Amino acid sequence: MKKNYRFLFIALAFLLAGSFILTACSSDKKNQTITLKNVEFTLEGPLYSGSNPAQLTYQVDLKTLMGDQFVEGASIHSASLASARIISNDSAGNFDLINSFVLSLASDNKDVKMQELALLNPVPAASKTADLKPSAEAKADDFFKEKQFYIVLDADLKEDIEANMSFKADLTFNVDYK
Amino acid sequence: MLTTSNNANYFSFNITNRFNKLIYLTIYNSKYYIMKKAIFFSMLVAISTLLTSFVNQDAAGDRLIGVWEPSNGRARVKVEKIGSKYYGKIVWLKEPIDPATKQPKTDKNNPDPALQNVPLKGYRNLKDFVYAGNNEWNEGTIYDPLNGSTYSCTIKMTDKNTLEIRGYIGVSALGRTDIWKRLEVKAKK
Repeated sequence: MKKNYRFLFIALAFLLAGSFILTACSSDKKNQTITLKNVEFTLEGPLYSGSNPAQLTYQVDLKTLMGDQFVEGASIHSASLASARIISNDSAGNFDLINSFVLSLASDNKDVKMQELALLNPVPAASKTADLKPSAEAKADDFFKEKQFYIVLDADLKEDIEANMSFKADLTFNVDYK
Repeated sequence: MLTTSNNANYFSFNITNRFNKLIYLTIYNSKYYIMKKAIFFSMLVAISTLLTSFVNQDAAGDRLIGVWEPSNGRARVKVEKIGSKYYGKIVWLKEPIDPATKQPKTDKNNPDPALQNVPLKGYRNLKDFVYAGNNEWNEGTIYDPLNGSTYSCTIKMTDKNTLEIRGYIGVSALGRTDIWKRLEVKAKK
């Protein structure tokens, strides 16, 4: 009988400890949607048919990204791409000359590996906007933990083009932060 | 002690003392000046050596940039730089059309279903290579579109037109090496 009580006590202690850990880990985690608006990509001509990359350096500034939600010491726990809209600039006209778009992130940190986040193949011709399909599995957490990262847009061209092409993009991320 | 009994001595000593002081200060100042200059120049030399080595390191790493052909000749891979790392993507395929769909090949074996529609031509199969010096690039991965597997990879440049690409799982000893040759790309007129 005495043994049973001891067993019960231990089990209860484990249960309490488990629930405490769970509560501690989940209680102050918050979710927010952040959008990188009007991110500008330029493909510098002359461009060859096939995949051409446009890249830009993005400086991570959580204060600006999180706006009112920002608190000192906030850190991003998980991030995934919710949507990516590519908008043709006037100079580029429409997407007639583009087969596909692939959006990726890259970092200088050797421990943070390049990640493809979204794609659109084929790109509807005669359209001026393209909504890329985000990967549900691709995570962007590690990039938001860096001071800066690179956003890479690969545009697969149908033919050679002499001039530059430029696009704007609105990229929305779902972010869990603490 | 010399100042108390003999004025002449005091005077002469004072002059000598002042003279000595002047000489001492001149020597000290010149020593200090020379030391300052020496420190400044050695710092300048150190900084320029450091900068030169960084630039050289960068230039040495950039030798990987170009178009390369694996030994099987079925594809060509263009290596580019994003940030400080090197990436290679397929720019040419011997058989670009999928016989089953009659459409351009896509990455149908990608373990992420959302990315199986990425065109294979243009796909980055070499990722995240860092120049480690001594003609070697490491920390990267190589992707095999035939089975959708990603392997750790090191690249060694044996001469300016030849690469040894070693893909492996876990330890480098358990891997396979392929020889890639540089292709000369003619500039567009």
